[in-house]
Amino acid sequence: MIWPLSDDTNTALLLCAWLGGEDVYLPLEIQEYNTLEQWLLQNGYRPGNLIQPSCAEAAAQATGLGSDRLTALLGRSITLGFYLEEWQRKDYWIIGRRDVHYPKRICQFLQESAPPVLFGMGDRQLLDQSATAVIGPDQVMESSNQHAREIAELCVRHDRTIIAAGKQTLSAAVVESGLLSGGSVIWVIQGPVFGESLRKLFRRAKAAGKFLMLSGRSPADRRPIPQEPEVGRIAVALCDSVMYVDGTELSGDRYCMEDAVYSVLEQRNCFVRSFGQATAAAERLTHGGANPWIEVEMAIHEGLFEDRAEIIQGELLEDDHPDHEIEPTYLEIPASSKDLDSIEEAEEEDCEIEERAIFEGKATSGSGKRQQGGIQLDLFEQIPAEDGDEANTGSSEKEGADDSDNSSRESSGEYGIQGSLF
Amino acid sequence: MSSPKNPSTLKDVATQYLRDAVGRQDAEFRDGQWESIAQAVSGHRVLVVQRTGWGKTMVYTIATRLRREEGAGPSLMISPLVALMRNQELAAEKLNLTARRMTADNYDDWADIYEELESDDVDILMITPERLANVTFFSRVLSKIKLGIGMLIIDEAHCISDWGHDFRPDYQRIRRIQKLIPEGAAIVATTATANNRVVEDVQKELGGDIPVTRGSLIRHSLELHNLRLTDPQVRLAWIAQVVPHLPGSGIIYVLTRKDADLVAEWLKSQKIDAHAYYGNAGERDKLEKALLANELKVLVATIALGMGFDKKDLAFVIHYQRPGSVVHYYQQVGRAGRGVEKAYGFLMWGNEDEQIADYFLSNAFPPQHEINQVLKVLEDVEGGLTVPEIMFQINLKGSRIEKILKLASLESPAPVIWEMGAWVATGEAEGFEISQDKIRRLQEIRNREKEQMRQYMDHKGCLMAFLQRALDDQTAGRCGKCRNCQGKMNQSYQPRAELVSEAKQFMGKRKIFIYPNQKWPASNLSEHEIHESETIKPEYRAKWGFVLCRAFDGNLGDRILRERRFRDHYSDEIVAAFIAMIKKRVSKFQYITYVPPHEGKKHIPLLAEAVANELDLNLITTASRTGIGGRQSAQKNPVQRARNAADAFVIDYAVEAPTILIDDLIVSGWTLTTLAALLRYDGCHAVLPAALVKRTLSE
Repeated sequence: MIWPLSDDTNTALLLCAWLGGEDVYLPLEIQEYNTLEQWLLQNGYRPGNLIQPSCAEAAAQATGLGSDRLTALLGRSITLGFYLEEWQRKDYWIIGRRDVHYPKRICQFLQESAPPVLFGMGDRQLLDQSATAVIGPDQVMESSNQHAREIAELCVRHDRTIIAAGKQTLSAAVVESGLLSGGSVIWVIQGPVFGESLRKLFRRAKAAGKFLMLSGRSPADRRPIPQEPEVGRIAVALCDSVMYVDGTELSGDRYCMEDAVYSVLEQRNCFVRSFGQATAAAERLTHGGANPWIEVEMAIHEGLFEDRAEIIQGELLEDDHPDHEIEPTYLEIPASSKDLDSIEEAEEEDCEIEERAIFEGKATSGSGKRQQGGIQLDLFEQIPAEDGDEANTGSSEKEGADDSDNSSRESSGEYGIQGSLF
Repeated sequence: MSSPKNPSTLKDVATQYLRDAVGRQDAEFRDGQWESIAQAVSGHRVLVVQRTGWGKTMVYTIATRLRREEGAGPSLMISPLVALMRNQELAAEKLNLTARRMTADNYDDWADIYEELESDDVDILMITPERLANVTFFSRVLSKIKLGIGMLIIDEAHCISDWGHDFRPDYQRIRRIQKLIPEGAAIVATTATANNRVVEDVQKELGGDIPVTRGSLIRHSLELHNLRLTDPQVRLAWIAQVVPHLPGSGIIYVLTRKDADLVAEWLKSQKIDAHAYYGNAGERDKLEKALLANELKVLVATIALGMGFDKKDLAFVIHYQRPGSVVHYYQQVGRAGRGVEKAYGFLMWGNEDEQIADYFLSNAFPPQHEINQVLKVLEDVEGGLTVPEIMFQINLKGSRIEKILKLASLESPAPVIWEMGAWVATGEAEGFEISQDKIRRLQEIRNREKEQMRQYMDHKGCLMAFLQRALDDQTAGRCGKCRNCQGKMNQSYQPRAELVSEAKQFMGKRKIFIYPNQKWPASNLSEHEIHESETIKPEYRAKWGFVLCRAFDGNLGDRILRERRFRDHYSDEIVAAFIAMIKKRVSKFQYITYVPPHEGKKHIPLLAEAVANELDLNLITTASRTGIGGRQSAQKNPVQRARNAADAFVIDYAVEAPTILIDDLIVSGWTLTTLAALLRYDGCHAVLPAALVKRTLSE
């Protein structure tokens, strides 16, 4: 359950959420919150214990955050209560970093820069599904938008969740195309997501459990932020593969998509599609290991849609968590073989060839290990499984068994392709 | 979070504030007052259940002052009525606190208040619960309060409870808000009228272990009388006869605005200084001040002047009709006698009360199929719709649509949201169902309340004790003052016969106008040029018209409705009254025409013929029905009515000379407006509408 919020999440909101009007005592930055949280855990407390004046006082002194500041922030409880009511009525859910539902992928990838609180709207189960991020800078050409739409449609046909990020024309194209094709979409944006959710297409998709919006910023936070790297970073954290659609040399990159993709080149299958002259951003990504867009036939190999590793929900600081005994384990989900018959069969055979190539994934190995340039990467170390989720409780034995079925990776190597988009 | 202070020192400080506020240096706190203040100051929650006049306001104003001195942010007060806030502003002033209210009637002050909030110059900000629904507004307010809200004050907290007699939907929002407020925040909830069940419910909502201060509800100064005077003219006569002899000033409560106007006008005609006061009267503030200063003998008010209106020397409260429940009655009659030794409460009731009570009951909660209709319309559009736009699409009353939207928007998550000036469906709209169990439960409560009111009216024992017991006041006993305690149960209260006759005449002679509509309720109602623009062109408008009487007036209006339904023509008395009205008020018109009746109906042509014969006017049949559209009576909102009338008539015979256009019943007025516009479009120089009886859409 997201509502009612846990004491820890309530406290994280009091400390970190911008509720508007702050100029005397500013909400804590992530680093400040991390310092505070670390001190609390080391001293046998949890964030929720800050409601006790003695705990708050001690924490303020030990961390140097200032007693007045902490007291003022924690004293916003009535104001927060009003906002929570509004957010609940608008069907937001709120997850704190210490909640078991906090998306594990974000914890794992963003580590200490994972937002202390996430605000979302829509079916959270989408966060657990195979996903492809289709992202790019601001102001791409129409051909890029068109390409993004096509990728979104392909994702839908292959039952992949699409991730869009930021509010540029490219994201709008991806989200719309994905939803109109009947697919599932996660849209990572900053600030209030509610206004967006009211569009007919979006509210219907949300009602059908096919649309989720996610933000690391409080819906009451109206500060303009020129660059929002968090958006791109959350998007790539949540996905299995990335399609970076190149812009032009004049394109801005408000959401720092290029940096986000660059940071994940080792862990995700990344593709770059340029139209005309590749930009410096695209060059940087391809030099760093991203796959330049190729003709899809070249990417065909066996086991295209089989096997993917999944990161399941858990807690970032599980060792410190007093309530949930979570066994750290290798995470791995048995291969869920895609029934190709269920894909729109014969008449799509030709395009299927293309699609298969696109949907090959580095993370598709049943072992949960991704292959990059012939190197086996164990991406899911120390990722705990949820209590009682036996299917997700991996073992080394299983890993071994699945490793034996990695012909698809090898075949991709035959074509000289270091990975595939999905 | 406040730092603890020495309690005895704090109490001394608080006592001094109390003395300064009441202007008496020997004043002491009443039982429970200081304890409640201490709870709030130390950042806890407290529920204060005390009778009006006990000093609940003193609890939260002194607590606010003490908390502000400790550096806390301003208090936010949710108060159900503007009248209440005005008194609270004055109470705060006595403690050198700055209280500001942000309500619909002081919009011009808002910019200043925002600035004051930003510079932390406001100590208590007061809003109505409905204001919380405006997210943009509320976010803006909260964003200005840099220190955060220091204390939450929930006035008339019984509204939080589902069981409460005052079902204010927006209080549900407060209910949720306070549950979401983390511990350690000061909340003061106050009420004067809550029985055990409501207190327990409110307690549960505010946290089970919340301390409650509770006292006796008896008002010793009040002398209660129940008067069985069913005819309106008799009640009017009684009021006119008695009010001049009552000391000081008072309030007369009525159930509808229409009755507020009737009673006020009648009293004025009897040289009694009376004014009507209701929800949207622009002069409410001025009237309240006039009553507070005893510049008025009596205010005739709907429930809009109720909870929290604080006039210590209010000498009498008269109920022209019975209120919905005993608790409402206690609350309203309790306005009187707070600071005087003797005050009066008179309860009258009439034949119409039952009908009005049933109307309010039946309309309290909309059925699911109507909810579905509204949500479906919203789901099918992009960007949302306003209420008039919804009214254009579905045949439901505007007030009904508003109620549905209000109830639905209070759900969490909400299926509809007010966003950017329109109602918009959310992802929750599809398949949304309101809890029928909850509705049934609330309707049962309303029915029980109605029954209890009936028992009170027939009660033979002490009236004050009945009221106290109804509110679970364990101290209830014989008051010794009420009509029953004085043994006057059988004493007649009949007013003088000549005054009754005068009241009857007054009711018959009241001018009721037909205001010429200037705008169609929607655009493109038909392809005819009269509907070309939403504004009705001046050259197509009717003149001011007249109506003989109102429906359900206990007099001619009732007879007209009966004859319209059960006879094939109107009686001579009605026709004569109508002719007299036309003769008196209309001149220079030589032609008369009428709204073409539905097939088989002859009332209107016969009426027109009689008027034409008697006043020597030329009777012409100018229009006929096209057969398009349904019966106007089946249309439930003005937009549907205007739409239904838009293509219903065709002019067969144009007339240029000024013409009287008559109908028997006027409800929304769109039939007359449409026909007048068609006549004028075809060259008629002037059209004057006249009708027998006026009824509202809700009647």
